[in-house]
Amino acid sequence: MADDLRTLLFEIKPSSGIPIYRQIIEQVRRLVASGALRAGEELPSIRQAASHYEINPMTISKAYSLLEKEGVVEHVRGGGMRVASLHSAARTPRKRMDLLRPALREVSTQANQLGLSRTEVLEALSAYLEENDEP
Amino acid sequence: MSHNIAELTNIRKRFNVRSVLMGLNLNVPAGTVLGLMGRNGAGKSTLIKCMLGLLKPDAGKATVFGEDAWNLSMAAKQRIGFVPQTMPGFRWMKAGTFLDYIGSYYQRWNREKAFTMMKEWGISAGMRISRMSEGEIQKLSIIRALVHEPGLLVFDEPVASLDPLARRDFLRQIVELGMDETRSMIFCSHIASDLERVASEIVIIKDGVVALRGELSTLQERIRRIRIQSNRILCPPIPVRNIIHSVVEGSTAEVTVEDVPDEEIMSLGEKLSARVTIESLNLEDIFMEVNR
Repeated sequence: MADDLRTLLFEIKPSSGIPIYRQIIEQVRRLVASGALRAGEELPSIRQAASHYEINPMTISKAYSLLEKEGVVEHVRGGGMRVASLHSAARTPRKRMDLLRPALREVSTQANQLGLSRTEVLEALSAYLEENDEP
Repeated sequence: MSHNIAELTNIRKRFNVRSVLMGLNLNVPAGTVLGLMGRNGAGKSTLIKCMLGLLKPDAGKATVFGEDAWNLSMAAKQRIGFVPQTMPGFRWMKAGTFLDYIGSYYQRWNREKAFTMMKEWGISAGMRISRMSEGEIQKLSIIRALVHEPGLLVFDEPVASLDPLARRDFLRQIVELGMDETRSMIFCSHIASDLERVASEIVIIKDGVVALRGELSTLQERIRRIRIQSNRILCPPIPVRNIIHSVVEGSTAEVTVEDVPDEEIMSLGEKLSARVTIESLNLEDIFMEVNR
């Protein structure tokens, strides 16, 4: 049961233009930041993930080893990977902001392309933020 | 650590007046899944046949497991699995008899696996090959190539007639077989998304040689498309290095570049007083760029 849940973690889009290992990295970061993946929770093994998503195992191991370097995940004895416990402590506002940056950059690019003014965009954004603030 | 399972060195092959391979070099390290692409007639099948000793190159050297491809020992042949574009002959045989017949040539034939796969893919052992659909024949051909656990597995357009479910099943088999790091595979296909999934490296051939080779994610990071939207008319050429291809239309331009750092690309914004966006490419896009 738990195994099934864990292998369904990722959403892989091969032809999106974003390298698959980067898709995995971004999704794990986001899942960890949002608390959907908690410290100590194990990620699917490289083998499990490779055959479940039908992708080359090296792609997954590349993603995992980069996540390990970032300190997001750590090795478990026996070969698996789990969400690092340090990472919850390191979830500073700055780190959370870093996770939001790509989305913000995308918004600013699109706003630019659409020729919207800074005030208009900021107004729209704060409306969304307020919407989310309301319980 | 990684030795080469197969090596092609300076291979030349022509058919009458048509030169197909023109000094092609390709090594296949152990543990790789090479995704081989090229336009129709680019020479993919010729390359494969030269590698497997099914065609004699006019010049150059082809080796498999360290042996000359044209004079492979029985032991080396036992370690090769090949799924050709079309399966030759045997139409009068029944599926099960066919697999048993082929199996009799192999020391490491896994009969149980062959019959399990046949069942999983909905082929009954008693079905005559001449009565099978193209897809079913392709499945049988794949089973035949897999079950003696070869060290070199070569697929020449293996999935063209497979239905989507069988194709995904096949990809899973490839991934699982690929976990054995002593094995190498060459997977030739026009379905870019399949190669994006399972290949560890992409090889694109063009004009008889390897035009591009690399890990897909590396290629995606090297080759980028730039969109430029200026508020004045742009004059070609766009001032950026390593342009593979560029289209300029009035105040907009689309430029594909290779190995240019993002900062350098973004600096175009100031130079051209333009909005600059960088787009990453998928394998199909990269293939198109290489073949323009």
